[in-house]
Amino acid sequence: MLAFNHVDFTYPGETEKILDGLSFQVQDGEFISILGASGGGKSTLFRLLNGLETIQGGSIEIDGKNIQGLKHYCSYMPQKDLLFPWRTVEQNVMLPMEVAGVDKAKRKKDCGHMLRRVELEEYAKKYPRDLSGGMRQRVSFARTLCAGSNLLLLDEPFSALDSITRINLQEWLLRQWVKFNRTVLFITHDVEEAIFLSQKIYVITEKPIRSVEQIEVPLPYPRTRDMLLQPEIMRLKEELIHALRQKVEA
Amino acid sequence: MKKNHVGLLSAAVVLMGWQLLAMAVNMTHILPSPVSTLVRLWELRESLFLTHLPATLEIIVLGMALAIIVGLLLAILMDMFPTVEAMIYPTLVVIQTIPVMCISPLFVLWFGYSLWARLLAVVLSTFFTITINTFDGLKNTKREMQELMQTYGAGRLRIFFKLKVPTALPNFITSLKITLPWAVIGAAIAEWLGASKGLGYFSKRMMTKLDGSAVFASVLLLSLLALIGISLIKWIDRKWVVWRSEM
Repeated sequence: MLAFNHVDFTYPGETEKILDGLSFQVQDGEFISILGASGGGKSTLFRLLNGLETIQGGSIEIDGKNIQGLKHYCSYMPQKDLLFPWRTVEQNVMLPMEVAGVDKAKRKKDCGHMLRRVELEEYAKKYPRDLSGGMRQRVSFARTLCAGSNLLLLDEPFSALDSITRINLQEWLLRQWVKFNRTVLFITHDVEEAIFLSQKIYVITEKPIRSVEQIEVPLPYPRTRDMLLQPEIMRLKEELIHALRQKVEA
Repeated sequence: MKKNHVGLLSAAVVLMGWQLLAMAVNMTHILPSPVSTLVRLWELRESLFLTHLPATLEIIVLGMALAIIVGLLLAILMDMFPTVEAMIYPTLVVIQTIPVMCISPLFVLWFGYSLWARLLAVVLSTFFTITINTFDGLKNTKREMQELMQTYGAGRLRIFFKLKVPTALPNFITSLKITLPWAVIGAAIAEWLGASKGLGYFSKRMMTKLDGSAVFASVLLLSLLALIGISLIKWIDRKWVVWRSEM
């Protein structure tokens, strides 16, 4: 379980608070979207979880342990695929394991296994430039899984893709989530994406962030796109858009 | 017509014009013709290819190797420590403005007719460009990629070898392409000023003998050295640095 406990944060050298006493929890195995307008501090949550920034007050805990003493507790997937162009697909996927010091034979085996599961095994020896945008994101996802931790932080991973590829990848991601059974925190500013993917949506509407509004998505898995047309879901969508718009106008 | 066909054709026209002009002037010591140059090259082949060419090649190769070591070291230090950058960058720029031709006589005074005097001339004409290009390359490292490595738990050393080195490699290779001709020129100048063998030394000696064709023969060899070197670097670039366009 992941818990933010009364977390305060201001970027070094700045005066404007980003987080002010924020608390929330995420249970193991959940798929949660963090929804908020651009520039609202969503990515900051991930930077704190990643250890790229340090909180000034409160604590962030995983299974009751403060993350400051932990290693390899989360895997981060950035918005851009950030594949290294000098590495093949396979070598890119193996990078986190290489850094963690996993021996070569195991790296190779795990990577092959992972590429099979994300349906990209025939591209193992190709370079990122030989792949389409959607495929590159899938490689990036495989690399994230290879970082080995149970908690996946996905930071708007599909926002740069065209709409059809995005829809395909959303459906693909849900299949992967069911297969891999990991906890997913998914940042997005796209209301429909948040509803389609997640069990719960944490909505950020204020700055500094003092709390998140938690909304359950009343849809079972496996999901199909036509579920989005149910009146209840349409209403939810309108409510969310309304909440976000208020924040933008404020 | 293909691009290299045009190049060959224009080269042929220039050579023919030169040949005709030289024949009209008819003073080989002042304007040797392409044919007389080739003839002299053939006649002097033994001393040119067995004595002077190896001597110059040695200076170029050793000088470039030294310049690469110095250049990489400085680039890495400047990238790692901003204080070092602030300290040595201005000095580097000043060194770069020194005309090697003018300062090389001093090297002869310091080191005599030794290899070191000549190496210094080559290093001085090349290491700055290697340093700055490589430094720029290291600085090009994308912050997001660096942070991604950090989230995997990578330390400075891992980030350096797995991310910074490949990022800077295209720039480094480019600097070699740029500086190789300068290394050849630097070596020739140093040999002019103080050496007992080498293509630079040879051309100076032939000059005093008013043997224009022999001077051109050694110049031809110097140019060929640079051309072959650049082709080699380009080949390495194409074969190994396939990600150049994506940086």
